Amino acid sequence: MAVKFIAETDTLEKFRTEFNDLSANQFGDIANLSGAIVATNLVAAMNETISIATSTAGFTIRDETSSTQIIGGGNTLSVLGTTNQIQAVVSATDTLTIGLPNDITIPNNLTALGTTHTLGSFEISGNNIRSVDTNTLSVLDTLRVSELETGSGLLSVDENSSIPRFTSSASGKALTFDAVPLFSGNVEFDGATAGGFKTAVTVVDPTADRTITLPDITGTIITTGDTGTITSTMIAPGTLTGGDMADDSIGESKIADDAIGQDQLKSVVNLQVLNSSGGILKSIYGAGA
Amino acid sequence: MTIRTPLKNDSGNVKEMSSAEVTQIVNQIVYQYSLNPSVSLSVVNSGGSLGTITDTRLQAGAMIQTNSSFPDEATTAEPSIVTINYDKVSQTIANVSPTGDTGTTWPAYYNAGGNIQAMSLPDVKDTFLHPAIDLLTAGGIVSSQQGGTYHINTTSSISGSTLVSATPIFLDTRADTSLYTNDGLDSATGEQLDQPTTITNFYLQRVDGSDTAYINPFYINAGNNLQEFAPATFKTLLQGWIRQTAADSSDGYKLTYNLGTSGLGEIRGTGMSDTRLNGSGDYQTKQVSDDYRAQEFPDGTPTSINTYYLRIQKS
Repeated sequence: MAVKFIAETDTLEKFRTEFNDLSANQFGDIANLSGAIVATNLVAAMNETISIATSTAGFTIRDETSSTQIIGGGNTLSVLGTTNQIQAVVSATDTLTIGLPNDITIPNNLTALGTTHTLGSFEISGNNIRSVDTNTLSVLDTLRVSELETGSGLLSVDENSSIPRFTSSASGKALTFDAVPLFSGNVEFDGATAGGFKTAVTVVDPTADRTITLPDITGTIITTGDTGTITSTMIAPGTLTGGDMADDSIGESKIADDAIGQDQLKSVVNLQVLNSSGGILKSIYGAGA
Repeated sequence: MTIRTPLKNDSGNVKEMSSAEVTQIVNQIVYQYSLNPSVSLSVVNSGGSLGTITDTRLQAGAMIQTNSSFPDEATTAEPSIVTINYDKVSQTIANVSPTGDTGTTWPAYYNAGGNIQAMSLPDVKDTFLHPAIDLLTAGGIVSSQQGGTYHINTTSSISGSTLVSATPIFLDTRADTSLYTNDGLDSATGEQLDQPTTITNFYLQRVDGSDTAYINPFYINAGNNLQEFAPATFKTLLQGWIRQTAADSSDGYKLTYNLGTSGLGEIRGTGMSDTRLNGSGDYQTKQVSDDYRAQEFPDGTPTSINTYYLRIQKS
């Protein structure tokens, strides 16, 4: 039932209509007031009624802070919960049920003294947590722990000297990555002497997908900083080209005996030695102009 | 005709010889020929293969005598001609078998394709042997470039030549008029009829060769590489083939000699003139006791009857 309101600009007709409606349908007909009531206006009748009710069948309620409230006879005691904390349900006959709502908010601490606690499909049992319906627990936000270990503790993840650390206690400190690690920066090797110099493996920021393949062979990776390292067995036969050689770098001692053929000579010319009949006795090939 | 230019060692490089250097080789070939000519002439007593040349002279006519008067000139025997034949020059042609062409026997040259090729025998003939024969058979002044060939000279000793024999191959004789005297009629047979004098001796001379410098060319050795000829090897090769060419060329360069007043080829040396007095007789008379004797002696001026030449011919 809405509040009736007459604006300054409303018409008298508007006022008359609203007033009649209030009198007839909302304030009620004073003629219909109980005959036991002495008062002749509505407010006085109400105050008279309250006085009668509390003096005959009323009671007082008090909470844990000793705040009290008088409930008079015929008055209604409203039992209300706190949203997402507790709820009260009135049901027949004369039953009030106090319970928890479906969605609960605990403003402060929650202590559960039992051994196994299940929140949905999430179970806390002693020091173990698990999902009761799947083998997966999902943490949708950051999970920060002092140390993580795998099932039998072979792998631990913790921090050491302010540096995150993976530790494998498997044989040979083995750690299997069935994954494709993506490193944003260097991969560094501390070597046998921790805290000393490091060797970093890094990449130039890729501009396309690249693949560097480590071959199926035991050996040492060669870098541009190496000198005198590459041996002939590391060079695939037939792969070196002229462009791989510095100008004027091949000396006589590097050319095998009986190795230079006519095809290797520039602008090759052929000087033949002929017998008196014109038969070829020898062909001498040389570089031309 | 294919004249090749042999290759030589030029400070370690291969270079074509100059024409002058080729000529030096030709001259060396002449020298090699001079050392052992394959067509040789010798002086024999008679029967020389170059034939006969004749010397004539006058001799006195036979003396005639009567016991009444001197025989008149018309009845006196006229001087007659004495003829002496000379067939003292014999030609010998050697049978030569030089080294055959193995394909790389001869000097190397750049062929038209810019390759190195061994000269063939025809190339060698055109380049070396035939020019050498041309020199050997040249006429005119005799020099060392005709070494090993022959010429005629009136002296037995001449620079640049070797006397083949001290025996002249021809004598030009004439009646020695100084020997015919009237006293000769004292003899019962009169003055000796033939009283010659030798005007000129003609000797056979062989031209000495001259060992001129030359450059040994490259040839293709057994390893089919270029190699300079060893001098002895090259000389032996050249001598063998110039001897064969001179003796038995089948292409116009065979060398032969002939004797005669005329003939083919170039004249070698002095012409051998047969001179004779041209008088009709020097009528001489003399009375000895009751004999009236008359005889005609040779007289007149020397006149050339024939001139014989030694000629060298290539054919």
